[in-house]
Amino acid sequence: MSLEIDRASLLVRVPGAATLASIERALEGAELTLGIAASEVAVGDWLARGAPGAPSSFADPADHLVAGLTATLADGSATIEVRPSPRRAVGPDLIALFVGCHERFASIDHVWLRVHPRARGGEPRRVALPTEHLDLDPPVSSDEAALLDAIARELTR
Amino acid sequence: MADSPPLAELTRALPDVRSSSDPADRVAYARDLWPRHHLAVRAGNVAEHRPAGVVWPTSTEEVARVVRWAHDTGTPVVPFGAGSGVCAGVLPNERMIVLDLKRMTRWRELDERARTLDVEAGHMGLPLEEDLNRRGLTLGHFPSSILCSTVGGWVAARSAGQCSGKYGKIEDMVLALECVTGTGQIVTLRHRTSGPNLIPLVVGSEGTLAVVTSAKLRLHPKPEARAFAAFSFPTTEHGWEAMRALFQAGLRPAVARLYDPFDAMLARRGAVKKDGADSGGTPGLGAAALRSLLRRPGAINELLEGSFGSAVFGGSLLVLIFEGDGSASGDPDADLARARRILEPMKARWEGEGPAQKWLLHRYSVSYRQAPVFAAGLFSDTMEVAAPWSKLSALYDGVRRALGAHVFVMAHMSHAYPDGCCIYFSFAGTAGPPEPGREGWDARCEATYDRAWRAALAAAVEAGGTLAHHHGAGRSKAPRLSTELGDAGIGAVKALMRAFDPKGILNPGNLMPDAPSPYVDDAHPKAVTV
Repeated sequence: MSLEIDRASLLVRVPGAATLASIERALEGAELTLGIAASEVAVGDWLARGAPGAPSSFADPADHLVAGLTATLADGSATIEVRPSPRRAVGPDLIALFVGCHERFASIDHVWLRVHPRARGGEPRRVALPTEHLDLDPPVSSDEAALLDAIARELTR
Repeated sequence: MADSPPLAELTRALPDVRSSSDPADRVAYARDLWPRHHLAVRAGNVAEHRPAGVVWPTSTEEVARVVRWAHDTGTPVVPFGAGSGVCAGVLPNERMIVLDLKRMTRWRELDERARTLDVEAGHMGLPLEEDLNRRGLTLGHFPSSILCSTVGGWVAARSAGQCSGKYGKIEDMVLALECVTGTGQIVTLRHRTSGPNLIPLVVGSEGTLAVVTSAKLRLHPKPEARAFAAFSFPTTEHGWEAMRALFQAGLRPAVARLYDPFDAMLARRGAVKKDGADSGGTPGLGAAALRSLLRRPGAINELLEGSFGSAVFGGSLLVLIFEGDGSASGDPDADLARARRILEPMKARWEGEGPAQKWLLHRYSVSYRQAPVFAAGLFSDTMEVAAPWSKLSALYDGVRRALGAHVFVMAHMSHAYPDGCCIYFSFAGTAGPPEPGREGWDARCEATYDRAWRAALAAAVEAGGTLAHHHGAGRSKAPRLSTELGDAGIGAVKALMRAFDPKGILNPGNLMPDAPSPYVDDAHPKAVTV
């Protein structure tokens, strides 16, 4: 597996086909961890499903899971690269087309993931936890479904 | 005075929606706060881009009716919050209608148990925060523009506040968006953890995908306690390594601001006079002396950079504010104690609480000091870029060098994350020497301004940074967007625009690299090559 570690930024670039478990094993030597329960699911598939099991961004708003990625459109017509950046404000966040969209629009070729030092010490992070009353997974409405259809149509036009 | 054709048609079709084509209103809505507009105004071109008229809807239904009318008639519409954008996101023409959301200010639902607020897009920032504070809550979003910006504007521009270290940026706060697409359809987009989430597409789309009419925002308890601290470092790089260490250790100071040596000197002095009033006059040495000095920005920048600047101004300065509820698990003093343990081996020198407390007191003051600069015949602007920590040094050096050839530049870092940081460059310049076709003072200022921006944007991308962290791209950075997003990325953005707005009536030209350039010809060629 081709794996690129940016130690200073605590980022790792991995192929979409790499499994979480194989990434975790590769990170061990660098004293890093994904910080999630590793499994044999490919990271691209895992992200396409919305990264189940990953900490919610609402738990630590200053952090995020995906810093950048490369993805190929579903019809193979183009490859989109979102370069790693902690945040950006240059129009729509294209990462939203790939994470949680079940590969409807594109499949992830490579992804830059946030990693964590393996031995951080005992002190907990001071983060803003969400309340238990927040509904973070509502069903897709018919209006949203219509927009998703339109996006799929236009991306391959 | 008779209405201009598009507005006359609109008032006939929707007589109950408040509108105006009064010349004063059209001038007032002709621009946002892009500093290059200020140069045009100073040159006497008060409103080169005035719209056909302005409408002030009071409900989502009225917004939808206006947009449906615009869709049916092919009339371009420019959504407008409080006009405090700085990237030419608002640049109408006489065919366009400006849609001002500021009459939409209702709180639709406050859920104190779930800590959420559904608020209409036209609500101004500061009164929103003050009302929340009275209920023991905070949004945690404090952009420098909080006095002159709206919820909808924050969402549209992907705004960041001064406490992003703890609360994140606006995109981290939105749980749902109600918006009107380019066909006039009202849709509600919901945040999801394991399914498609359309919110990040509309957040930051700068009025090109939909008109945001309300946002359901996440709230937090108002902090019960704060801990203040400031540390100086021998160099700026020592300072950002300290910030990196703090955020990668899991600490989340609400405020973490690192000033380079010159900016640190200004921060130590305080942004305003002791009585809290802006001077209103020309700063410091006097206008003529400043103009003369800024004609040689390269020499000044070289002098102030590096060890000389650090020695004279006392190094870089890191201001920290931790917030918490005062409980054992949210004790800001404990966080600060931990920060000190991390920083002390990193050449940090304790500067006390004073600079942080002073910063909090004057946190919005510096945003209102542009007018004297422009009145002195100069110009000033800011540029906020970001990169992973590994590329921060290249980004800092590259952009600083690129800007420094044209303007006087200083920098601070005010939004840090575990994986990277935003660098906020502030710069001031003046007119270059006369050149053919550009003899006037303001035209020469525009040329300097455009060349500085062109060089800096190219340097940012070359260093692996992003063109914008929280001001948005607008039309001012659009000519360079393809260098960051690539042709495929731009293609995806255009596809999104067609999906949300098939006729392209929403803020057309914004965010588009191939749209007509707002710049002088030689500074930003319409076809930009990498």
